[in-house]
Amino acid sequence: MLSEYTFQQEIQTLYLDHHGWLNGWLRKKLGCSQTAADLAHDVFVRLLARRTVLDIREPRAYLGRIAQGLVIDHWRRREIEQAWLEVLAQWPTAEAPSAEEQAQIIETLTLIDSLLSQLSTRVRSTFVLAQLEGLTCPQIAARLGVSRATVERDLAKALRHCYALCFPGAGMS
Amino acid sequence: MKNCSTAEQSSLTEACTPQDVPAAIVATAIDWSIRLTFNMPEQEVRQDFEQWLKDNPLHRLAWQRIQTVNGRFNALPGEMVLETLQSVDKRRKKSLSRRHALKLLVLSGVACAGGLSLHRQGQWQYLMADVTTATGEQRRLVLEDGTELMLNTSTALSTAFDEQQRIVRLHHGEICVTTGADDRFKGKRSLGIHTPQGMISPMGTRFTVRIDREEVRVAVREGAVRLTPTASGPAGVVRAGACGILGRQGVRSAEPQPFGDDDWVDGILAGTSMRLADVLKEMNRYRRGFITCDQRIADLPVSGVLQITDTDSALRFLQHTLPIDVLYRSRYWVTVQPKALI
Repeated sequence: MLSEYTFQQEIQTLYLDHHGWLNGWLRKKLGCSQTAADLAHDVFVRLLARRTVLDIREPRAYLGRIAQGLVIDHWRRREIEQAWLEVLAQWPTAEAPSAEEQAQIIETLTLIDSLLSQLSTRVRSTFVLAQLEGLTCPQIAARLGVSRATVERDLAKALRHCYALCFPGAGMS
Repeated sequence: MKNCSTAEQSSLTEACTPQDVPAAIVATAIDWSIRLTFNMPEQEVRQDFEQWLKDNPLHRLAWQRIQTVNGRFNALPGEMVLETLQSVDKRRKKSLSRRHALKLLVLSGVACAGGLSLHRQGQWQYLMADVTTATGEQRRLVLEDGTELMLNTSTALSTAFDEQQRIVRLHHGEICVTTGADDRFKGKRSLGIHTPQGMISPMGTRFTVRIDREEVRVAVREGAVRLTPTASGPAGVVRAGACGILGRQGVRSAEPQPFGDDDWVDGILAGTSMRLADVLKEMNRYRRGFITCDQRIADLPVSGVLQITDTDSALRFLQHTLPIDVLYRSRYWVTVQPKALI
């Protein structure tokens, strides 16, 4: 583990040496300089949050891997926004949530999306049935044909993931 | 220094400098959440929980955070969200590069928001998507043979129709069936309602089927139905006005309920001298969370018509007409107890 001082020095060196390159790389991928600048910035913020620099021998490969993840997140989010707006357009306007509520809903959809991609099919089904369909554990057990203990274990797993995503670094190992 | 990384993350994060909660405490808080939010807990469980909450300020913090996490999902417009996730899923399926598509929404048959659609599979075979209702939701369906299904709160079913038979599989919940003439096949195809405990074969009729823990209750309004248990044992016939139970031990006749078996189709719960505890238990099926009833008032008689489509106003009605207090400990936790003497 690096000391706080050395750690920040490392990040600063990485930033000075590679920020320009990273920005260009992202611009080419995204075709939008504004988004590229945002994501390049986010890469370094991610690094600061991680508090360890794992592989500084290949800094550009390392930064590129993080950036690639952010690019995928970005597209996923765009897809979700797009799909949401289409669904919304089909509903009566009286039932439409306010702009503020919509922003919140898109945030939560993004959260569910990234959460689901990390879970196994059974855990995902359990999560959706519990949180979005409002079923209880015994109902989910009957629905999926598994024991109640399995449902509870799966749900606990999904909730641990939710917690880790909502409270990053807040006490979950 | 902890950082609010991106705009995206900062809004997901309750606080930018989260106080550390040991993983073990978070895990315990999650266990409590599962017992209290996603199950029907006993009174002692809630007392133990209250004690745990008091034991340590970190317990309370962990609990608040889990509630925050759960709250995000509770507040969502469920149907619209499911529809969006399904739409995203479809798009990603088309694109091969998206390997981690949301397969679950199709695999687990959560086709709730799309309603009921028929997919052609071969010339004669129709395979219908699963249909579900959320807690408090009811839905009416008309199948291709003219059979009408009314789905009650938190119900899941699927159907499979082919040249020989019409199968409705009730996974959980309750339905009211009004059989159709199946004109196109001149009534040659048999209709069967399949449940884990056995099969119900109607003979031109209207009836309700309710899965209740280990048993299936079948109440017949018109005509008659045959009950065939999954377990060994003889089949039985239930005629109009009667009730039958399909259970582990086979078929038996059922006691009448204090309220009509198909009252819910009209969105009500109606009866005379119903036990308050029974009424609250029944109302609880239509709302998320739980309603607890103090033992001292459990036997109070309730007569009249209660709206199950709006359980909050039904609770207000009970409070006006009975010597009881209805306390909302949270949106999901209602306690009914004897009226306090001022």
